[in-house]
Amino acid sequence: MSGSAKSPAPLLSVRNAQVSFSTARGPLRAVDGVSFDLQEGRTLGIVGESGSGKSVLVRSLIGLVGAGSGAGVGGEVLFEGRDLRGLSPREFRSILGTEIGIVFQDPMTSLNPVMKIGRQIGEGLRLNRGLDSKAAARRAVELLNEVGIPEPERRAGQYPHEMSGGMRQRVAIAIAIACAPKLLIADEPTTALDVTVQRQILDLLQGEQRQRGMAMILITHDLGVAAGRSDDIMVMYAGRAVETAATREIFRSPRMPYTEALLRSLPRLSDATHTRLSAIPGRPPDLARRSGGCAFGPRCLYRTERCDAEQPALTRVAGRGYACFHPRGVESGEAA
Amino acid sequence: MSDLLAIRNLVVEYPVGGGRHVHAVSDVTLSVKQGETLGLVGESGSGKSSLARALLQLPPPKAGAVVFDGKDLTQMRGQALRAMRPRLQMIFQDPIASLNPRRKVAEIIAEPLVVSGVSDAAERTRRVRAVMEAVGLDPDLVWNRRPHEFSGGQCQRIAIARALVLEPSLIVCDEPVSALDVSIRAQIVNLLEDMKARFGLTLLFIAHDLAVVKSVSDRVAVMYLGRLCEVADSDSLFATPAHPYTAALMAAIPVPDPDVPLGDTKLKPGDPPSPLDPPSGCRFRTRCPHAQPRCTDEVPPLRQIAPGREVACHFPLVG
Repeated sequence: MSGSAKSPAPLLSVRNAQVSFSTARGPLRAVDGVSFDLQEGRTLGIVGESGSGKSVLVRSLIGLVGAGSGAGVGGEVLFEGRDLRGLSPREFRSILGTEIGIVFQDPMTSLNPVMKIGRQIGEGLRLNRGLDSKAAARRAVELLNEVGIPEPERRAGQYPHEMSGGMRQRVAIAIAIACAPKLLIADEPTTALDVTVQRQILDLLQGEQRQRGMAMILITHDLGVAAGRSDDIMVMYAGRAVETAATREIFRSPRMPYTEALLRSLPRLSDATHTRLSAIPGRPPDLARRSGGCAFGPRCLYRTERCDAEQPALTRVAGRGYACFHPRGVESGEAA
Repeated sequence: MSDLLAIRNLVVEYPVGGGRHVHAVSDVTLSVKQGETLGLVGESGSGKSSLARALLQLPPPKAGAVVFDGKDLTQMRGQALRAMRPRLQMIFQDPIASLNPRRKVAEIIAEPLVVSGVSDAAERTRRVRAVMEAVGLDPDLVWNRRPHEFSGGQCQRIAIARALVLEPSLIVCDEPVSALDVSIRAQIVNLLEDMKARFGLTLLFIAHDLAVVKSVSDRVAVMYLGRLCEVADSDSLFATPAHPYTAALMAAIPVPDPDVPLGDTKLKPGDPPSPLDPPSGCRFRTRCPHAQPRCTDEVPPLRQIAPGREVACHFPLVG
């Protein structure tokens, strides 16, 4: 349709992603029909608690969770128009680190403990970009400098254990961006770090993302981190996307009662000491024993009979989506 | 309010081989008033957990005094110290790891009673049931179950029940909610507040989440690399931090509101130094935007700048 204000094709398009594991208690649907698009240069924050499926979803997109790990994976994943679901492990390896960079929560486990820092950063450049050892080593030092590591020449010759947690995460970021990927996936990148170091690492990630025009998926359980660093947010609960919207809309006028309850339960620095918190009753559901209704229903203030009987689908209205029969802040008739 | 606990010139050091030591806590003097919640904040390596363990004599500190209800615990040994223990209890960060996986919930909660010599089984059962009900666990449902059958939040309730069963005066809470899911944290924070009111507890609440600390604490102490930076009532500390490190911490907090601009920590680039080899003078000086030559030469003492406000800085931002 020429002439219409259609947005350009997304960098990443995910349709009906499914991940299930077989467990002793039966099949467990860790991710249950999640769809989203990510445009070039944008940051999508994926927010959820442990067990919400946010990490498993993203790992399944890039082949880190799949047949090899005993998981059943379904749906369609288009990256620049190519379907990633059909790729062999070898084909995945040629994309990871070059077109898609990844930063994990714990740099101590994602870095190779017995390889010098400089060599780890240069590895992708040698294997994927055809640089010789000398050129790769030179580029590794430049990258260390870029991610804010002092004395980069000396640091390049060190091992991960000789660095602090913040420094190691900087190294992990240098590795992730070495081959200039179009998409950076950051899975709880600062959860293991102290608050002042967290701040520096988030500033670095955001700076690199903007300067290089990368798209970023930022996975976090911390609503504060997501608020400051994401263009859009997808809230996950019990394996499903329950709300998607521009970041400001999520925080200003959440539609999904779960999002609303989560925001209300947070202690605020602006509240007086000993202000009682609005706790959410109950706890997240056991994914292996799911009922047919809304997964948040048992904890929801607005639950009705319909919520127990039917699972609300993610409905998209005016640029945002929510999976609820009783959305907050909308006229009746716009419910899912 | 009188002091229930007074820590004086506390020093905790751990040997790491080669004659070197981790300077975990260096010359800390701090008091906790009867009935208050004192928040203790700091980043990893600040010594907040070492301080908590030293005051419970787990293990005893290298130097200094821990005066609890008029008695110096560091001078007590054996039976005398054991007799004090029921009055000081602790709740840990990881509720699942802190519970014995092979024991039933009722046994876990009854264990402190057994250890402290409550030999009447009917009396133990009565007290365990009462404390289960107090923390929101149904005794008939949980009695014979084991920790793995419970979520993290429920395990923290069990740990709180175990800490309460001896009717202590002081509970040290070491990061009690940071391992819990976001939607569960408020339940446990509210439970601790309720238990404090119901049992007249005094709490030392250690956490790195400043919003949680502000929510529960009457006063807050800030630690950095083993030393105290600042002690103040909660409202003044958060409204007008006096120590540059406190100010940096506040500016670094990710606020769950996209309309609040990111604060400027003003920190010099670089990571916190190692507690193996802390800087001379003020330990914060290597990252401090206001550092002067004096900060290298002289350790700033903790001094009062206003009633109830103490700061260890040569150039405080307030006062």
